[in-house]
Amino acid sequence: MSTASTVVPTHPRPNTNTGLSNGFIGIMCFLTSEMALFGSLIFMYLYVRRAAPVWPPLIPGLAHGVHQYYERFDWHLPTVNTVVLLSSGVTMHFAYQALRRGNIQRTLFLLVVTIILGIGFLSGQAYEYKHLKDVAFSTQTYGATFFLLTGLHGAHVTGGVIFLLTVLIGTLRGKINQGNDMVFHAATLYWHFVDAVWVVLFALFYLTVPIS
Amino acid sequence: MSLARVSAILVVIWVVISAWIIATPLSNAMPEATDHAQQIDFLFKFMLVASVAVFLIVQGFLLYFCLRYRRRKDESADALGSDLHGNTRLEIVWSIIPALFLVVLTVLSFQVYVDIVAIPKQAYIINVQASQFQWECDHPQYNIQEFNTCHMPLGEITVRLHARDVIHSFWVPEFRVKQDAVPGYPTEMHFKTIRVGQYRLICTEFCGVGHSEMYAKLFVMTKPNFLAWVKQQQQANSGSGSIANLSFSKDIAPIFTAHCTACHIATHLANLDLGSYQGLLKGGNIIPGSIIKPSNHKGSVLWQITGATGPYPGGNRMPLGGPYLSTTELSKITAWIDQGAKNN
Amino acid sequence: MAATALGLDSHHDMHAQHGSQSWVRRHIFSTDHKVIGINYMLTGFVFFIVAGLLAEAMRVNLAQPGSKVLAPDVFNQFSTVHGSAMIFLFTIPFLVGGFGNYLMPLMIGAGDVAFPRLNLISYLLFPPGGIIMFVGFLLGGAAQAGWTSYPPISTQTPLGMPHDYGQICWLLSVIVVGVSSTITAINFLVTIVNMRAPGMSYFRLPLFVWAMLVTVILTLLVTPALAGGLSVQLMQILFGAPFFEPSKGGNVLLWQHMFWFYSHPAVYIMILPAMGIISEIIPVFSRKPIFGYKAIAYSTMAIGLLAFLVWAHHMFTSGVQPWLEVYFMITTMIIAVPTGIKVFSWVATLFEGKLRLDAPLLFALGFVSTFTLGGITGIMLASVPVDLHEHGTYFLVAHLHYVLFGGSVFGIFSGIYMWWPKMTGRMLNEKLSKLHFWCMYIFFNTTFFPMHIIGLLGMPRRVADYDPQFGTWNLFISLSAFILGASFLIFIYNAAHSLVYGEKAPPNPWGGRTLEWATASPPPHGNFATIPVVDSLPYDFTKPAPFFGVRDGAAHDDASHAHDHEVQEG
Repeated sequence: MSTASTVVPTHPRPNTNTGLSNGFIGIMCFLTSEMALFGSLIFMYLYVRRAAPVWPPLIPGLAHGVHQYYERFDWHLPTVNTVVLLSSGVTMHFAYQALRRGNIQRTLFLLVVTIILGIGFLSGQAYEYKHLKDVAFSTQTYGATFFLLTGLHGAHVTGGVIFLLTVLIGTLRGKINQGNDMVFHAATLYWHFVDAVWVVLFALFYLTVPIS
Repeated sequence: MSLARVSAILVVIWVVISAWIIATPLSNAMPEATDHAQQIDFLFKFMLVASVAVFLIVQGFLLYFCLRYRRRKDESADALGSDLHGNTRLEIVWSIIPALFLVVLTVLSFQVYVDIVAIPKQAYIINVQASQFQWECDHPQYNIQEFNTCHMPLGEITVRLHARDVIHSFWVPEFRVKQDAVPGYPTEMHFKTIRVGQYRLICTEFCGVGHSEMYAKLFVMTKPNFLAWVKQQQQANSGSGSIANLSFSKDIAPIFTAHCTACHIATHLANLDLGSYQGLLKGGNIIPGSIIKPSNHKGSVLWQITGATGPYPGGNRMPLGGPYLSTTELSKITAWIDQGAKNN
Repeated sequence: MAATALGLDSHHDMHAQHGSQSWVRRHIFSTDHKVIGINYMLTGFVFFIVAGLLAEAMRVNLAQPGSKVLAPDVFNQFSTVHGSAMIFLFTIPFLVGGFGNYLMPLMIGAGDVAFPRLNLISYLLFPPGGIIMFVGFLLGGAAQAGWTSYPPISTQTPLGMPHDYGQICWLLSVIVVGVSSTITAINFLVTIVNMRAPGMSYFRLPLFVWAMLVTVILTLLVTPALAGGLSVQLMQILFGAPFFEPSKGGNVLLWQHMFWFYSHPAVYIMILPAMGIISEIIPVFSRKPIFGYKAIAYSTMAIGLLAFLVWAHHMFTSGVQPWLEVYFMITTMIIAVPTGIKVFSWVATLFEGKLRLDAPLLFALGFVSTFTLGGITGIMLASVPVDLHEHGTYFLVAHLHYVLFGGSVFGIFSGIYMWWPKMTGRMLNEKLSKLHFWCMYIFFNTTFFPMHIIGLLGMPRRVADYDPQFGTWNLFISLSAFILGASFLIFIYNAAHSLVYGEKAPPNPWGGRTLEWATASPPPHGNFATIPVVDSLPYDFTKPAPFFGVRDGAAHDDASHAHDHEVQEG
């Protein structure tokens, strides 16, 4: 086994035209398609927002305008949630590095921490959803766009957590190891992607609500 | 037959066809009723002449090569063509010339387009409300409304389009311009009518089961004739029987007979019977209860569901699918309800 | 001993014996790209016939003014499903899933695609996804808002129905088929990028593979955008989320942008593979190289890039800002240039050729002829002022059928006639094939050309009825359409007869020079006994038939092995 400080490639360069494995290019293509999906929905949000005469749209029956949303969109919990998710990205990164060095114990530990942080993020989101009054999915577009985008993201995080659990089992069984790490690498890339999307959504929904 | 010969023949054909295109006014097929129509027809002719050229080149050489270079029966199945991979000069030429043509076309189109979207300093304004499936044209200057007809004078016109329910599109082929009417998003058209006549206003954006029937008669009139028409409309609105002292049997029941009882009779359609006064009080089974509230037209379902502006109880304006009640008929219903909605 | 094909896992045995598997495993659940390709074609063809019959029914109704053969809502359902099925359930699956799957790995000298099991999953999503669209007919009415599904008409519940089940079915169907498409795109992209035979650089790729490469990049980037739009519309219909509801902050035009951002590249997804097929057929049947190979390759790339920049030319009358309309007019005009380059190159390929005027070439030339006309009317529509008159009329219906039927369908049939021997191991009857061509070409033109005229004269589209002045034209069109439809029976008979009684096909009946002809008809599992090594351009007729630069593997195993290791560096 190689020493901990050097990363020695233990598998040969794949026998492909580009030298990159099929799986790696495949996962990058998949993530590109996911970016296109989120991209189109983010475009949708920006378009609706710009085209609306007043943003957020007035809730039928309520007198005041923007303040109510800002109060409800208390930024404390979402910020904590963001830190949790981004931390999980860091732990995942080091988990993969540990795998490449052959340090399975460290890999497993960091992977479990990542999963816990991921579940923590999802719990935070669930709590946030419950506490948003008057921001409904069907009464006006502010709620509709918010829930659609963060909901889709949450679904992706959930899928990601399941993916990580599968990877955990694979690593425990020894099927995923230093010589066979494509799936782990794919999971890492996916997890980073989910993080990146969240950063964008956090900026769009929580950092740019207008205050009058 | 050599390549040069073929090219010459194609050029001759092109010149002949182009001359015919240029010489024949498109207005023979369909009149040009606006200034934009003339500009657009010119552009179209320009493109048609160029299209004929492209078509002749592609089809002509394709046919010629097929005839000239086809394998003869006595030649072997493996006989080869020449080993020609390309000709850079030719390829550059056939890239640049079409590109230049397209630049010219774009510039010409841009000029026409600028003219089309330009907002005239003075124009006669018509507000068009498109709904499923009728055209309502309002003349704000004279406070006249017309349904499924549209009268306008010669000269600069601005049409302001609104859609009540789904997207519709305002098109008069002789005008050569069209614009969608979009719910929640007013749009405008500007043009100058130059030809008196009767035209068809056609909905050209799919809007549902009545899309095929959504036409209006559009009349372009000289200014004096138009003003005469306006006067006539204003008299018809104010006159035609006093709005006071309306009688159910004389003024309201006939409206029902003309527009409603084809569907709403006895227990038909929604169990609503508009053949009798009692039926109004009984109501139907989709919107229960009396459809009239004496002295309160705004609160009466009858008024809400037939009126020009929604929201409509049950979601659909009546009569379903149009044509809707005229301004006069609506005024009568309003007045009769306010007068107590009596069974007189 | 066979060298491992590029990119395949070491445990993927190219010579696995599958004889002991059941018919169902071998023909429906196979992971072999050729079987999957044929399955896509068969399923797609079924949808083609059904969608065609819907159109014929519409033409019965349109044969005379005032006809009430179809109730208006039924007519609208037929017109919606006809368009949607032709696009999503026939043209795209047939060209990409069908020809793409079958030919692309062969043409690059690969044994299969990068992810064969994922390929199977892609295919298995297709039939159920398609059927969902038709289930609407059983639930009170299929979708009836046109294939463009604009809100508010698409989010409006049709009269008499408690919910618009048909529209929900339509949305789900397109989402499922879109997922299938996206997975295929990922698969093909990895295959082309990573699994080309040694020596096959990008500029030695057959032009069909170039077309597939650009097509799948487009698919990968825009299909998810459509999925986004479809989900948003689904959310509105199912849960009332008011994305397109102006009174609650929504915007009607939003859908049009999201929809056309996908659907315009979609038309290139439908035409580029067909153009790729034409680029393969014309050189082979002219017995000379394609004229301007690099120009065609670069044009394909240019079209792919420009495809993203032109979408709102479908929205010129929608109320888009004027400056934006000018921008889209300019980009749309630009995209005509690479298209023209291709057309001229195809015609120039015929020059000094030795033309075999057989069915594949006839259909290919039919394509050039009709697609050019469609392209010309496209340029007319690109000019905003002229579009203001022509949009939403039968002129547009004519244009779109000239490019999609005259283009994609002619392309598909030329491909079918070209590769039928390769795929089935049988030959088709040449006389019947030619008869089919002439019927299709003549009656296609008599059906769709008059539509240009009635459109300009004032007949709108998506109408079940029209002004009586168009009665004669419409009757003529309908009669032509019936004959056009009937002419497909010639093909079906020809195909069935060939499969049972057709003469056995040699490996290379047409003398082609691309790699699919360098193996048996049909090719075995794993495609090639040894990995081909490529050392020249495609369409090089100076080399002897049937291979181009391919070593004869059987006799020179050791030598080819040694060479393989050297070449794999590159």
